[in-house]
Amino acid sequence: MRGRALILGIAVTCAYIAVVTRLVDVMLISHNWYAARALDQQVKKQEIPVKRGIIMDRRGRELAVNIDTESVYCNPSEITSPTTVASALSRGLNKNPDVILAKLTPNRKFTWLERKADVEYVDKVRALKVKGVGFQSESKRLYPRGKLASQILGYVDIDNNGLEGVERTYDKKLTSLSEAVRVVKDARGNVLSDGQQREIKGNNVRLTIDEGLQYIMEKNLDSAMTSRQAAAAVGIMMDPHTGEIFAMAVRPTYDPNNPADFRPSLRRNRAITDVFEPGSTFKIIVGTAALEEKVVKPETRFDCSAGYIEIGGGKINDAHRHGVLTFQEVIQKSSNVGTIQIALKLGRNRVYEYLKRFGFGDRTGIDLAGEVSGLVRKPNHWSGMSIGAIAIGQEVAVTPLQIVRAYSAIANGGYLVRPHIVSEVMSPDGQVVYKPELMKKKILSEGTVRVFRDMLKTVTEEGGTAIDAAVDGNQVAGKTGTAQQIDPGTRRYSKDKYVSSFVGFVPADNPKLAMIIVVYEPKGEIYGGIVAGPVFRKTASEALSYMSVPRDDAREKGLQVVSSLQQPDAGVK
Amino acid sequence: MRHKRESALVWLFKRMLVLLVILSVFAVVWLRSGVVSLEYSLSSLQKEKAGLMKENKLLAADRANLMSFERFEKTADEGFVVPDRMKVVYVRKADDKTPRTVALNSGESYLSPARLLKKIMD
Repeated sequence: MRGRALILGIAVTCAYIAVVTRLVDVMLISHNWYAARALDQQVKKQEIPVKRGIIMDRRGRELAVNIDTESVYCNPSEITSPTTVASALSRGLNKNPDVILAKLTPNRKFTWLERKADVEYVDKVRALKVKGVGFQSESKRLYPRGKLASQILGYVDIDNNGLEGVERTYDKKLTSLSEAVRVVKDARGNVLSDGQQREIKGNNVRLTIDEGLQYIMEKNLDSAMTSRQAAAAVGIMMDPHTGEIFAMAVRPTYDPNNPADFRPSLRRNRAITDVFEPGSTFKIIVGTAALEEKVVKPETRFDCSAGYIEIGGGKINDAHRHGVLTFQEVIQKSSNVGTIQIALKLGRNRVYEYLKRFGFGDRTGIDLAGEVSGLVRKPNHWSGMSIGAIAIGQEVAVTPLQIVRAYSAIANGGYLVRPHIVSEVMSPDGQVVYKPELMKKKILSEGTVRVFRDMLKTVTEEGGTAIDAAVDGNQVAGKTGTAQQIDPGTRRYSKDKYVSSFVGFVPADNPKLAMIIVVYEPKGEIYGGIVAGPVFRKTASEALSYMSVPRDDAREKGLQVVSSLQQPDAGVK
Repeated sequence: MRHKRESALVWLFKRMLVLLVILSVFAVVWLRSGVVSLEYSLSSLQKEKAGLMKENKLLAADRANLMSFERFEKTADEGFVVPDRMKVVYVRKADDKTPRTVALNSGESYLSPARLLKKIMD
């Protein structure tokens, strides 16, 4: 009995010594090695998700936001039977098994099955409980207003990199550099939280556009597209004093939530990327230059009775035959013959100087990607006919934005402003980190502006080319444009493809907005006053009402009496 | 006798010391396990929070969609209609201290907006 107890004692002691020895080895001798191994297994690097800043309109309405989605990935090396898994996944998800099988090729360690998947998709895959298939949380860009302002906003790729519009131009400001933290995980991969939830947010961007005005513009362009069976249409509305863009719309358009479903040409912002020959809206150059250089007076008379003028071996006609016209009537009736006579008085160098003064041939500097400078040739490259053609808006290529900026200079007292689309960039905690500088340059004298503005008013009055552009209650100053398009096949002016436009500002004496409407290839009527004029009138009328701009005749009609003599602020801040 | 009492005290002290060491070890283990358990709870709460935040963002996006002008246009019987400017009276405060006062025609004495409205309605 005693012998047995002794043996048991020795055995227990030996076992105890063995355990202690091992403990000493684990805890003291090999401690560093085991500690490093444990650290390696438990502590993992985890990326902190970067959330793109939101884009909002001038009143803070969200135009681009983020939602959290999950992406499904798999580690093919962990999948023992790819065919079975592909078959199971395809049954549950209505996907082609071959496509899934191709992704399960075993020589890879990681592959995406579906990025930023729908909730139903993720739930179905999760329910299958396939070994080797995992889920990764990712932020997805969403444009809650759908197609509204899509050319301005642009869109992002699958990795949230801005590709077009504001998303591209302000990409660096909207996002931030990714960071990683170390987290402790258990054997099952569960994170042991340290109590901190980390998220990196990009800056928020406030645009100058107003959702209401943008909607009004888009709705009216849609109507014009339908009624005129046009190929495309562009509309820009801006504050002539500051260059803030209130609305910029292009038709046809696309949905930035699914950009790949639309042709690349639909994703282009034609207002700044496409040029056209402006036609008569370009007469602003010769008209203001002649006044500024004191070459003519409003009452100076021009003989336009022939209905055409021969220049440089060519012949340029008027749309309708006029008699003798004063300078004012030349502008009101949009006489090509009269305008060319004025241009000839100015000479090619002065015409070119004023072209450049209005910024044609140069980018406006708008903060949107893809703007083109247009095409204006130097006088030494002009043909004998060029001075006449350029005076009436041919042989030059301009963007709609350049035209509306030029008319803004008449509206604001002679300053060329830099159009911009972003009002401010704010940090996630609301601090303003960027505000564009108001840039304007004096290009015309007050006298010239006043006289030419009065001439532009007559365009929408009886006898003018754009009676249909007149707005009830407020006087409109503007100009029509009708230009033939170049046929790409023949490289000559097309006989049936025109660009009809109207550009102007309203109220004429105290402008709240400058606007251009361009309709490409309308069917039936082609004249700017008939095609684009009514679109201008309807859009301007609704916009003025939306902005709470009083009628010019409000006081006479007893509609408006205010307790101070100042007019109320427009609704747009 | 005195020697015996001293040795009993040492004996008791030694056992108490051993007990203290054992209790300390258990306390440390218990505390550590409590921390880990708390970390699990925190992690679970964070998952719940993330889920709620995700839902919140979806609802915010939904709200933004529902508040769009296009939606108003589709929902409203008569579509999107801007105010008729012939039926709008613009009122502006002279300054922050003076109450808003208006009159229908210049020359008339100023009225409060409520009285003006009544006058228009009459």
